[in-house]
Amino acid sequence: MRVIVQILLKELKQLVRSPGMILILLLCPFITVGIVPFGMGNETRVKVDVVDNSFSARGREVTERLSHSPNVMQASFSPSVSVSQERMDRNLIDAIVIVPAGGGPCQLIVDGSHNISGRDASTFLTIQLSSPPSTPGVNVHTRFISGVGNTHYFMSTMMALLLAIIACSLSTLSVVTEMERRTLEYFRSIGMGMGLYVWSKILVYTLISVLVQLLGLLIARWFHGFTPACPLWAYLLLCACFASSLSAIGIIIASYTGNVVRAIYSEVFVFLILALLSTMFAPLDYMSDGWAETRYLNPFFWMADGSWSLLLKGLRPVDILPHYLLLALFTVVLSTLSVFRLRKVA
Amino acid sequence: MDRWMVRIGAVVRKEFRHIFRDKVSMSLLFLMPVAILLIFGYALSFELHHLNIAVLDEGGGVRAERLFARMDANPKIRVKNHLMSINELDKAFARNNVRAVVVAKRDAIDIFIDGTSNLQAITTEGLLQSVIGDFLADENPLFSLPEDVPVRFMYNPALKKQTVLIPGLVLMIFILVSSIVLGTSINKEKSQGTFRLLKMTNLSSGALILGKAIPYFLISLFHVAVVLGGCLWFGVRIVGPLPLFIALCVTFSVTCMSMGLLISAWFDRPIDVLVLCWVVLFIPNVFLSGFIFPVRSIGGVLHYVVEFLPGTAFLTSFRDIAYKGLGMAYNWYNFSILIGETVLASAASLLGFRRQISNR
Repeated sequence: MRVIVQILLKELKQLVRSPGMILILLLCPFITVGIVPFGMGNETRVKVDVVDNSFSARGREVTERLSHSPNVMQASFSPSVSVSQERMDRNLIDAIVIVPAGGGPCQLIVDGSHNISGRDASTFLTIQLSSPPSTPGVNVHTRFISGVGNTHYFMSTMMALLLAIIACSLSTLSVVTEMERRTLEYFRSIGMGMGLYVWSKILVYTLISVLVQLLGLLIARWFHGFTPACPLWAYLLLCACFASSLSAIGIIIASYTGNVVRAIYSEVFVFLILALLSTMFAPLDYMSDGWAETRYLNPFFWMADGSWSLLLKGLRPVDILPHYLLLALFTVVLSTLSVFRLRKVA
Repeated sequence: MDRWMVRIGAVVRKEFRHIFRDKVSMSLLFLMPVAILLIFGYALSFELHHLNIAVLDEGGGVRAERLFARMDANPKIRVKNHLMSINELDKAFARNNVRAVVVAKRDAIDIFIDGTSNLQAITTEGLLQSVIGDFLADENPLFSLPEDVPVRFMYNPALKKQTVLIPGLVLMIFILVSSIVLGTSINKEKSQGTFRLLKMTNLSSGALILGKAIPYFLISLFHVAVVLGGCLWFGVRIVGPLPLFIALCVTFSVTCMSMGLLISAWFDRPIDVLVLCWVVLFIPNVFLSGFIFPVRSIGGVLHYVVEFLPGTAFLTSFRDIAYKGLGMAYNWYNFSILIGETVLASAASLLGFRRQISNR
């Protein structure tokens, strides 16, 4: 225990000694949780041109209806489709509504170069232009709404990403630097077991990551009024499980690469693959079955899914028990592997 | 001038030797962009593949059974669970990984949707409404469905998922690989003291940095070739002028390199470079540049800030050139943002290097 405390103190001293690192650790939650979520509301806001070929009151009625929609930033008349297409080329508008001459439904031309926003724009404009707007006799009840579009959903994602960046990057570079400077050999020569070394590293970086995460939660509250829907300890426990598994991944990367440059390239590669396949970027329901199965081996998925369940849905910790257990299992397996590898290398 | 070129040539040769000596790093450098494009070109999607739902019959009788069978037959919907009572609703959302619960009553149909993600909730509602609407119209010919509005999508009529994925993945490759490789390389020289050693020769800071950057610039040309190959592989046609498209990729790569240079000029340790590249370059450029969320949906002051992100300029021009077929006349603004930021970042880096050398 005394050795673990000594290593913990050594690592903390090394961190505090570098003012740049302290600044970075403070800057990270400020950018990821404070600033970036302001741009993640995902509210559809479109600019529309209305081409009235009917020359009747219907054209004015359509324009009026569109301009009163919260999802339409601007709805203006245009003399012809070609003029509007020219404006669409220059990214000045997102859609063209054509009111036909002989009655019948309006036609919609949407900029599809960004297919997500194109589809969103077409959905909202179709609802605005059709009547009745939804199927009669069907009542929709949306549950777990945070009240600010997607901001809180993506904020939980950003917090998981922040935790992963800190835990994985710090552990990878700390171990690989000690390998390069032969500090690891020194530790071995004074009789320190590699198990103790790995676990103390995991402990240190888990602690630092959880502290940064706490700061992130405070920033989320100040900037976005975000309040976790679960007991704080339940979320922090999930963070600790995730950070420890990421630290273990970092140590494995360091032990196999052996030099800083290789470790950085490998970390970027592994991290990007895990993060992109984790459903943080594209939801699970949007993946094909084969790719969706990879989630069982991806700690990022268990963290993201667990934090949405705890922070947004307010589920009890017992409801996400598999998440805690799997993340702990990842840590145990990966740290054991890294111990074997470091024994061989040192 | 000749002597200056010779000096730079020597640094370039030295850097190439460094790169090729480490076979693992070299393979990662060349294979990473290929792997990222291939894996995620197939794996990632922004279109609903399958929707897990639970159903509950609350007095709907045979009609409810027909509705549930109709839903199960839809290739995009999977009925995961038949609930026994409305009290099981919370449990269904908590443990069964369902996005919606459809409750069929005698005179109405209730849909409960998981609203944690707004985007998914909208897609879920649209799909369920259309399936239920079709069912109701088949059951009762007098039932009136909402009027259909014909929609045509410009530039991407089939709404192929790759049109949004490829530019985003290219952005990620350049923003991470180009910035990190140069930043790490310079940082390594600094931490090992060889940067100071090289400064003792008659190389100027500018020549030294240029010499170090040229090999990575040549590697980034390989990455541009990978991007073109990726576009061909996934059937993303570049409608606009190809030289302009290549110029855009090269300019963006150089901008990213200059950002990596800037970080390595002001921060000494590899960990600083790595974390800053993730947090200051990767996260804002990926999440705010219009890759996932349209820039137009970002309000307030941040909207004006993201307009100047290199990622925003790159993605806007990528779509303009590749999908809309527009030329330089429409893209000069984005090019000038990228070039201006490169010049500013390089100047700030030189300042940082000079300051550090004079401090030591």
